[in-house]
Amino acid sequence: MCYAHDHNHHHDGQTVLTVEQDILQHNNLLAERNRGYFEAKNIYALNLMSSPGSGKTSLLEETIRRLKGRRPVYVIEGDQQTSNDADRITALSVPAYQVNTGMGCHLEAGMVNHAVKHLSPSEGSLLFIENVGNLVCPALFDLGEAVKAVIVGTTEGEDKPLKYPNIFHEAGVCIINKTDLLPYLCGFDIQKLRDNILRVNPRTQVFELSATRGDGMDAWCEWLLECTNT
Amino acid sequence: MHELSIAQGILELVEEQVRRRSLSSVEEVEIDVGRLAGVETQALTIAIECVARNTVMENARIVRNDIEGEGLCGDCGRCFVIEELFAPCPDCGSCAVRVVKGKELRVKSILSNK
Repeated sequence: MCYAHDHNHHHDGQTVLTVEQDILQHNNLLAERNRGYFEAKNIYALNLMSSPGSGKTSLLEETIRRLKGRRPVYVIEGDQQTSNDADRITALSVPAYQVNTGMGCHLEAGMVNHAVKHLSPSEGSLLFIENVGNLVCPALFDLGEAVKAVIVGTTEGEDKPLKYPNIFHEAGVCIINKTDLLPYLCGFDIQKLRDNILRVNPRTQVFELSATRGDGMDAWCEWLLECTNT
Repeated sequence: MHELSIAQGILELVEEQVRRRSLSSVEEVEIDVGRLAGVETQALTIAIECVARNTVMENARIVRNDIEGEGLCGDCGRCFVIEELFAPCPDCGSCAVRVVKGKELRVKSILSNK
């Protein structure tokens, strides 16, 4: 079924042309352009990924409130439809750009490139890119971010990292959100979730927090400030 | 359904080759897909069929090489076959395993009548 060849060759009047190119190379090249722009302007970009309803936007809102006056913040919102999330961010006087992917299930580097041109983030700022709520597709697409962060709510159960390993495998940071609900979650073991995250990706940094009640937010915000100090 | 984006990526690469090398037809496209690349191969097959319609790839056969996953243990240095991203080292049990093979998504070659 497959044939070995190192160079172009001919047989039966047909030509085998060696291509050897990454299918995602167009996206990856654009992602590297974004990355170069971010590095040149000392912008720290985070790609926030999770399933729908894990609290990404609530986490962003609370993070913005706490970082106000300490770092300039910009937000790119990715959703299939509506500008609801961007509206929530602009209500906090933070520049936000909504990308509607239509039928698309993830953000791609070209969309971020386009959004960044609209936002024009200032030097030394934090750029949050909130990906489309989906634990599968966003894992494959580099956007040019400095770090990928996966958010998982305590209500999602302990085995999410094992069911969707690709996205956790890519994440430099993993945030366990909604810790305020722990007393109501019968049989849920946060340590087990933590163990599963680290089993899939032993290098990831785990934060436990409640965006709505504020627990654990200080450590997360301090970490963000440290990231933008360099 | 990111397989549609991947199928689109394959078509773009093939179209670029057709333009650059002035090919008259594309008979076959050979792709490498790693088993750990996060791609549902059945969905990819359907997606390729969809994007290929009315293009140079319309009548092309797709030859897919499924690349087995391989991990390298960061602790004991053993190289071994992995079927999932979180497979621990079979020798020392360490989870510090780097995936060295199995995440490929590549157009390997094109067969053309030229």
